[in-house]
Amino acid sequence: MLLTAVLLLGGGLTLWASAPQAPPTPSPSPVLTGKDVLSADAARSLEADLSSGDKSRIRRALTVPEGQKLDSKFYAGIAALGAFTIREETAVQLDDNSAGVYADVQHGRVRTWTLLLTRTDGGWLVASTLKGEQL
Amino acid sequence: MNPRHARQVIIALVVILGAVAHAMSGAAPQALADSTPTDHVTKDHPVVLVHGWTGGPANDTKALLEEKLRGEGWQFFAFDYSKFNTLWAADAHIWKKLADYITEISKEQHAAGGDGRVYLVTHSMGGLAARFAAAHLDDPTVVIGGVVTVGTPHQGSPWGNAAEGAWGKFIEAVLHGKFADPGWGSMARVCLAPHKGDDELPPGCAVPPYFPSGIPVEQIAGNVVVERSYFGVHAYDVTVGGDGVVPATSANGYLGSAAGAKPRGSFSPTQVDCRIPENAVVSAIGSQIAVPWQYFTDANLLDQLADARVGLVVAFLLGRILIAGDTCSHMTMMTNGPVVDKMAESLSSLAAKHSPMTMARLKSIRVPRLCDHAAGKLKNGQLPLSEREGYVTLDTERTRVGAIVPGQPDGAAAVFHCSQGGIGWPDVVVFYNNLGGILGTFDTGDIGSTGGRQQVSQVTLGHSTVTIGVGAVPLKGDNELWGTSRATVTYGWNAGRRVMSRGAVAIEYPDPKARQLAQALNRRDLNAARKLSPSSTEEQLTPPTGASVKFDHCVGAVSGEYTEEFRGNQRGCLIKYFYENGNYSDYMAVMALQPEGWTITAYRNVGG
Repeated sequence: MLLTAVLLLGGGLTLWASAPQAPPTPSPSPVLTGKDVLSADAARSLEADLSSGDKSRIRRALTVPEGQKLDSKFYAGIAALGAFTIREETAVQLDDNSAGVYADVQHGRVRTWTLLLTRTDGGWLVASTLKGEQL
Repeated sequence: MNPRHARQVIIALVVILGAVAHAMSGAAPQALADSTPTDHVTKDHPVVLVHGWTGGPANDTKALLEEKLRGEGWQFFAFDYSKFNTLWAADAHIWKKLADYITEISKEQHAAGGDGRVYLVTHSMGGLAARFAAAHLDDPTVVIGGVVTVGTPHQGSPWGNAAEGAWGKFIEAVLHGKFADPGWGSMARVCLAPHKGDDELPPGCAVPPYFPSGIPVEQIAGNVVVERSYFGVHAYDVTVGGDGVVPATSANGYLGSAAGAKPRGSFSPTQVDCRIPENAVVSAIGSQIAVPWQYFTDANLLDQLADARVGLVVAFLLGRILIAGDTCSHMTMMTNGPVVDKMAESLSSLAAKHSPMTMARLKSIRVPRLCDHAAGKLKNGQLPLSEREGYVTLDTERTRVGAIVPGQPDGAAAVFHCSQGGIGWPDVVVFYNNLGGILGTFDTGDIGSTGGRQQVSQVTLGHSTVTIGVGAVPLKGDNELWGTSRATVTYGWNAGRRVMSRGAVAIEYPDPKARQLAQALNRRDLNAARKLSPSSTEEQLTPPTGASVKFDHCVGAVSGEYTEEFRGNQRGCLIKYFYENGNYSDYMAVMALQPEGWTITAYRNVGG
C-alpha cells in the first residue's frame, strides 16, 4: 500500500486546508445563501441553457473542459430529461467560487438533484450533479 | 471557517483518518509475526506474496488466489516485513529477510518433490524489494520461477520525494507540530522518486537492480477511469493513467527502470482499467470537493503526473480517487477482482514458461505463414482452411518434442505438410521453444534445385541440434514433382541471435558412384565394376579394347537427354567410351536411390 497513508492523510489535509484557504482570498467570507448566492436571472439562464436542446447552450452551462469530446448520446440524453427548475432559494455558498443548489428535473416524474456550481468569469456553471438533496 | 465548512471538514477528516487507521491496522498485529514459512510446504508451485510500503502481509490476496487457483497445483505464502515497512526496499531488513524466505521455501518445496522454483506476486514497493532480494540469491534464475508486479513503481511515483514539490512542502508544513511522526516521513517516500534508467535517485537511495536475465516478469498496472456525468447522463471519461499513486507507465516500466544493460526475457506489461462513477468520487467525502472538477482534465492531470509535478489540485483529486475507488485504487488493487484474475492468469503464464512443449499443445499452436497461407492457430493439428484453400497439417509422426534451447524446457521441431493452389508444397519444419515461440522455420523447398515437393522423412533431436532427413529432393533435370534424391540438413541453436540456424546440408548425388564405375571400367577391373553394377553382365562391363572410359554427367527425367532410358524416379549417368579413331559411344548407368544410397540398376550402350 505504497504511500497510502500519506495520500489519504494528504487528501484529508487538503480538504482540511481547502476551506479556509479557498482561493483567491485568504480569509473566510460570510456564508451567503439563497438569492444572495444565485440570482433568479442566473438560475433562469442556467435552466434555459440546460433545457434548450441546443448543444452549444447545454455545453456552456457545464464545466466541460475546452476541446473535450462528449459521449455521442450526451446531448440527446440531457434534452430527453425535460424541464429544469433550479430552486435558487436553496443555494448555499461553499466558498468564493463555488456554491450548491437544488434543482428539480422533470423526467417522467420529478427528480431532485444537487448542483455543484463553480464561478467562471462572473457566471455560474454546473460543475457536478449529485442525486437528491445533499447540501 | 464557517459552520458548514467546519462540519464538512470534520466529517472529511473523520472519514480520512478512519481510512488511514484502517490501512495501518492491518499491519500492526502482523508486525509481531516473524516471516518464516511455518506452513507445510508441499511440492505445489509456491507463490510468495510481497506487500508494499506501509502494508502488511497480503492475506486477503492469498485467500482470493487460493480460491481462484484451487486444484491447479499452487500454494501461497504471505511474506511479512511490516515491522520495517517504512524503510526503503534496499534496506537489508527487507531484502535479506525476503531472500532468506524465498530460499527457505525453495528448499522445502524441492525437498517435497517440487522443482524448487518460487513465484512472486508483489504489490507496489514489494516488487522493488523483490528486485533487491533476487540480486542476493545464490542462483536466482533457478530459485525464482517468475514475478508478477502489481502497481509497482518501477520508475517511481509522482508522490515519491514529493518534499521537493508544493505537495510535499504542504504536507511537511502541516504535519510538523500537528501530528506525531507516523513513520511515513521515511526514506522510502524519498526513494520512490520518479526516475528512468540512467537517472540517479536521491542521495541514500539505491536504484533497484534488474532481475537477472531469464526471470520472467509480468507487470500489472492499474488505471482508474472516472466516468463523468451530468444528471446521470454519461458525458465523458477521465483517464487517470494510473492507480492514483503509480502511473501506469511506471507500473509497466520495468525495462528502463535501471541503468546498464537491459535483461533478456519476457516482461509482459498489462493494464487493468477500473471505472469509477464520478458521483462515487464526489459523494465519498462531501460536496465541497466538487469544485476542482473544472481543473480535472486529462491534459492537466497527465501532464502533471508525467512531469512529476503533483499540484495541490491533482493531489486533492487523486486522494479522493483513493477513497472513492474502494475496490479500484492503488491501495485496494490487490483484492480487485479483475486484478486478481490477471494475477492468476499471469501465474499460469509464468508456470507455463517452465513447462515443456507437448504434442497436445502443438496441435493447437500458432504457425507462421506456411505455403502462402496466412499465419494462424492450428485446430486439432490443422489450420482451419476450406478444402478449396488447401491445407496445413501437423505431421505428428515425424514431429519431435525435445531439447531445442539449451537450459530451457523441451521445445519442438514440428513438421508440416501443406498444399496451396491444388497441389502439395514442400514440407516445412517449424522450430518452437517450450512456450510456443517460433525459433525459425526450415522450408524443405530450399533444398535441391528449384521446384519440387520435398518431404521430411525423419527428424532427430540432439543436444540443441536438429537433424532433418529430406526426401524427394529434386536434382537438376528431375521432374519437379518427383525429386529423385534426398538430403540431411542440420540446424543448431544460435545463442547470439536466439534462433535456430541452418548448419550443414548434405545432398546425395549419383555422380560419385557413376564416376567410380567409369574408373573401374577404364582400368578393366571387372570385379570392382560388378560390385558397382551387380545386375550387369560381364560383357556389358567389358569395354572394347583400346577404348578410354570417362564419366561425363548425370541427367534427369526432364533433361531431354536419353530420358527414354530411365524412369522418372531414376537418373541416368552418362559414361563415354573414346576410341583411338576419334569416335565415341555413350553408355548409361541407370541410377536409383536405395536406402543404402545411389545404386546402379542397369548399365548399357545408349548410342554412338
